[in-house]
Amino acid sequence: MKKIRRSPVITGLLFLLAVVLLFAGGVGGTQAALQVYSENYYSALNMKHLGITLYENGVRESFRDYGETAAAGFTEKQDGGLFLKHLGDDPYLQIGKKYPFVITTINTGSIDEYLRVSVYKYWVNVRTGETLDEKGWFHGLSDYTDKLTDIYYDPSLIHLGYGGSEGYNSSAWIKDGNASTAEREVYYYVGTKSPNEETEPLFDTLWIDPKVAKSAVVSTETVGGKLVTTYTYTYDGYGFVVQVESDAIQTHHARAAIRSGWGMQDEGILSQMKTPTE
Amino acid sequence: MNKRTLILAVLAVVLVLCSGIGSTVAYFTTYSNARGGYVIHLGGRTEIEEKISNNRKTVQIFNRAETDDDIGQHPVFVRVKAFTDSDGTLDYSANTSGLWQQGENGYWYYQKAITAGTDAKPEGALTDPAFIVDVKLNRALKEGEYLDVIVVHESVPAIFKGDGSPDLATAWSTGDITVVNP
Repeated sequence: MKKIRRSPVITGLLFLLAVVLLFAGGVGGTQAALQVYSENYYSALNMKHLGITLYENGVRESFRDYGETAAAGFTEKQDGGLFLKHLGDDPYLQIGKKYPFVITTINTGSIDEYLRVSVYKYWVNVRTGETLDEKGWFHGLSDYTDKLTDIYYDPSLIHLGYGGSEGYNSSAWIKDGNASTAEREVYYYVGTKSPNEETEPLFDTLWIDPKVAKSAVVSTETVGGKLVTTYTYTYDGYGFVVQVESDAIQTHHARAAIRSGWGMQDEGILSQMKTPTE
Repeated sequence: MNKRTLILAVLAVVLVLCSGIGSTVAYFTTYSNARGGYVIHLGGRTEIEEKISNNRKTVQIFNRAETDDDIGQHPVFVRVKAFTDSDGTLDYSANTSGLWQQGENGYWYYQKAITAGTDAKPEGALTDPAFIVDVKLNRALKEGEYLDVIVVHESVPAIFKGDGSPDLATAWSTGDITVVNP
């Protein structure tokens, strides 16, 4: 018996047998399926696809819709421009005035979706040569701006609100406090949206805090015997930016999909989103 | 355990692990994004324009654009204050438009914002109507005597309330200025 155990030939044979068994295990399942379904088998595949469209004030700002086949790929308009029709009749942005900023998303795919919106707010140094519209706005993503990251340019002075005050529509959206900072806010929609359904607004107003006009460098100098005080405003010549990203994910195996696809592990939020437990 | 046995054992383990690869899954996701912004223009370069006729001084404030890009931007609120000595009395009763209103510390506040303009494009850059100061002499001046009437003006960046109406109180609360040093 000891000879048999120590024999390298026997060991090799056993290993080969193990390999064959492993492969045979996979092949066997396939064979079984073929045996059962190959006779008189007809299939009609309806390929499902996801799509999402971001709206601001009823304007279709950006979208990414997949086609019905893999070969069809997807159609999209990314890096859309916000604030295309904001000022109305105002000739310039009025600091402190609340402007309409109604953010919604529509499921433009063919299956139900869970939805997420991430909002980024920050200040930029707009270089000369930038493309501004006739009222001083710039739209879309571009590389002509430098993000201002020092503490003097405060994202919290860019306000987003709903229902007349700062905040969001908490009856339809959940804010992920752990993922949010002064510069980035992450919101999850409560429940799912079916194809062609639009979400309730996440926000409906935007305004710039009057404090931007209250932050200045004060210098004094004597000119012609007179003391001259000059206020140089910190935010003068700089731009505020709001960036909105909307995401959609499948509802099948929703919790696993959200955990994997979006990296969101908060069980409390998953429950509030009404994702089914596994 | 000899070397060959060890290698075979490792291979067996790798094969078993490989058999699980097939269960890895991917999920359907999609996204879209958009961005926009606005360049803030604060402060203005205001100038005072005065005319004197028949003991009446008319004053207008002009918000001068430094570049063409500034035209229509840099909205500011302005206020004026007039002084004279005891030989004269200043009368502001001719300011009946309601756009000039007396406030704290003897200042008169223009109720709308004016934006930067140029001589060629002065629209919106000038206080309109002008601020009027009538001067009444308290005694007859002798030959060679004169009476000084001094008008000063100040400006601050325009601030508005949520409904878009001018918020002069907040704008002129200069005590709120935060001095920074970027």
